[in-house]
Amino acid sequence: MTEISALEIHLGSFTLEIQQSICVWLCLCVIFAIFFIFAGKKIEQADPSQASKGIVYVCEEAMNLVLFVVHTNLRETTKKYIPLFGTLILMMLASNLIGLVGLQNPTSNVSFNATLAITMWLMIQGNAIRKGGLFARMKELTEPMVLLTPLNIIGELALPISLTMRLFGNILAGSIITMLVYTLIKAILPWGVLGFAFTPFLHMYFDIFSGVIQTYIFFTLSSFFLGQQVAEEE
Amino acid sequence: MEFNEFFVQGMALLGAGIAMVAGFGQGIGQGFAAGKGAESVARNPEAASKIQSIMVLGIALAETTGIYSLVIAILLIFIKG
Repeated sequence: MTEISALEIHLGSFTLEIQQSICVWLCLCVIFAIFFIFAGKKIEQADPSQASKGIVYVCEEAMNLVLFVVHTNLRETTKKYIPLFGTLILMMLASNLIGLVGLQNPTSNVSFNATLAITMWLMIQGNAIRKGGLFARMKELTEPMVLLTPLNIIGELALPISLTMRLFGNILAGSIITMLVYTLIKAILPWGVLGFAFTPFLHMYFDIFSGVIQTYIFFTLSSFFLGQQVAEEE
Repeated sequence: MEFNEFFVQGMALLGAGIAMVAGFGQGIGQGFAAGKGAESVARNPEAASKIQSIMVLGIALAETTGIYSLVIAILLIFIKG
């Protein structure tokens, strides 16, 4: 794990080491900001009566993807929450797929996952309190009987931890296994031709399949719990 | 008995191995979900695509417990090993 390159900043005697995953994360943020500003300008100029093409079409398809994940859970409140979910879903998808170009996934660092999971958890709890007030929320935790209150609190606290660890474990295990196979190939064959034969399957499974499925599960679960608080019962 | 550094390291690696026993339950759960999925596709072949997406979601959720033990094993190996 130590040979992965990192950025080191020397400030006098103090050395700050920024891991590669964090650098990739920050670069992705900058790229996403530029992309969305550019796309927003293009969408404002676009003619609604014509068929969309180019960057507008890409944005429409991304919107459909986000709606596919969250719409069944959030129902009529989808429009209110789509900016948050859209940004985070596209961000996490890009973070999971960036392992394909040989960079370290930001999701293999626990801070990325914990940031997203705690954001979602605070939003769920905030909406739960806003729905009926703080007292009603605390009363809800004591149901069905007072003795079960600690279990209810543990159940609420388990959500961010399970969201974090599920994604983190999947992506970290994938990157470690891929790196082990690359190291093995490098050790037995110095020119590494066999890498073309073995590693595409690993990238297909761990980066594409696992990454996309874990993104879907993360946001399906978080939007399900949010939808329980904000959406009307069917 | 002396509890030196190597003893702690060996026990941590042993603990990492024992933690992965959790893959047992995960395997049973995933196999059960896949078997039920195959059964329901056999009963209602028109709904195959819907069943498949639900099955993949369930299988990935059942994977969670195995992933927890994997995280614990990885932490033990890289922190103590």
